[in-house]
Amino acid sequence: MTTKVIVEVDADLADLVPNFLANRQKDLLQIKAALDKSDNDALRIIGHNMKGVGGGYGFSDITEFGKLIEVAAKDGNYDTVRALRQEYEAYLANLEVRYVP
Amino acid sequence: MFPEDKESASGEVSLNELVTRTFTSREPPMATVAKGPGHVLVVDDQDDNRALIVRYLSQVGHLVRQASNGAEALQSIAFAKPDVILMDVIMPGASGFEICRRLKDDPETLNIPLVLITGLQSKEDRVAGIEAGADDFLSKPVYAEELIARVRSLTRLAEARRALEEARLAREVEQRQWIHRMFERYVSPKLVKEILDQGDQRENPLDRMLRLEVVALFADMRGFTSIAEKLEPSKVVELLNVFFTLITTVAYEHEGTVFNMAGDSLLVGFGVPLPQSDSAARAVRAAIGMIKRFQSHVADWHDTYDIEVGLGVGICRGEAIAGNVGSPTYMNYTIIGDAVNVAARLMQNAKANEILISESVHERMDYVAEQIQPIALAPMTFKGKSAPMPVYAIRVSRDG
Repeated sequence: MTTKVIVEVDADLADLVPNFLANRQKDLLQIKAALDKSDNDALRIIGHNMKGVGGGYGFSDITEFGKLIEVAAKDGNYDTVRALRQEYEAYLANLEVRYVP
Repeated sequence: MFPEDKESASGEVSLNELVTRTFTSREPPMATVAKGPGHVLVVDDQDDNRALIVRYLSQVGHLVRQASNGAEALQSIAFAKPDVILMDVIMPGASGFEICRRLKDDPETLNIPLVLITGLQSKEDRVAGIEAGADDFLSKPVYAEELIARVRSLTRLAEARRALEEARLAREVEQRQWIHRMFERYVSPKLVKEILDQGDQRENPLDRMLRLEVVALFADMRGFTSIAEKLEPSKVVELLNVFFTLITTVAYEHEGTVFNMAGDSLLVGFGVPLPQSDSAARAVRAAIGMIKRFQSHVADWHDTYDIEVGLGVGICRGEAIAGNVGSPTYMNYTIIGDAVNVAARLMQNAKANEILISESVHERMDYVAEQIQPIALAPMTFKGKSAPMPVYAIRVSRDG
């Protein structure tokens, strides 16, 4: 049984969030492509960007995923990155956004 | 059309409008930055980051432009200077550090507050940002309250810097105008401009005491006593004004500096306050010009008032001191030195339509080029001089 992840987001950002989340799906694809090429520089940058963008929109978990991916990529720890990607994919799949005024 | 033209009466700007305010080369330059909440340039390669910052800042009234890399940012700034720049560090192409360094090395953009927005947390990265000249840092992720407070504070800083710069420029203009007014009493408008262009704008050139080589020219109206005796005072003043207007005009034409008018004589300096390589020849040309120009009046005045007048000139070259001389209540820009004294003595000995020059002027003259034939006179002894001095005369006939 999957559990919904509920995130409350400022209603003022409602029109920006769909695009933001679409870009997070792109993160998953980019992480996969970088893992396939064992490109830890690319993985580090993807993690860095996720870290930078998540919290501002209210998705602090995305910032946390980004931090962990950046650190793991720096260490060349691809297994950890792969595991984090799976968790991140599950997180996005179960995400439910609630807009608060 | 300027982006501001699309704003509503309340000053609000739609999101779509703000998001599409990314710089394009078709956007016309803005001569001045709008007053008010401030104009912000956001530079970040991540669309999501830019969109978020634009949203937060536009909600509090800032006008926001965007650039997605360093090169675009530089173009945008070249077109219109923002009040504040928010810049990501890690971007494709030039990094935020590099762009920051370039902007802080350029006097045109040096004073625009620049905030590096970075997820880099290490001490080394902060030091690199400070060394690049960043005014502040903002950590990613960006939170609305901190972003708005930081930008508001930096906008105020930008306004204060602009006000200081405007005040400095105003003071500079005022000082220049004051110097211009003071100087135009003595030299031609062309020379005033030259002096101001060369000098330090914070300094009044008249306040400088200069020791320099000058050519002093004294011109004196011959026959003035008979004018004063024969004519009404108002007529005397009228004729004197004609005389001085005429000879000062000629002095300015040859870029001389008029130092003193006393009675019916005039002291003009050449090579002062700026050096003139041909100061001796200029002085002689000016003297010839004064005599010739005055000759047309001489005939008229003879016919109208039955008076005999002419012009006698003395010229000497030598070291002199130039500066403001006098008391706190009465001060005059003048030249002092032996050359000035000798020029006065030569003038006293000059007949009407005659120019007497010293050896020091004579040796600087190219008479062939000037088409002048000087006459060597018997050496003259002047008051205060132990030995007689060689003197040369240039006589100016009515037909030249």
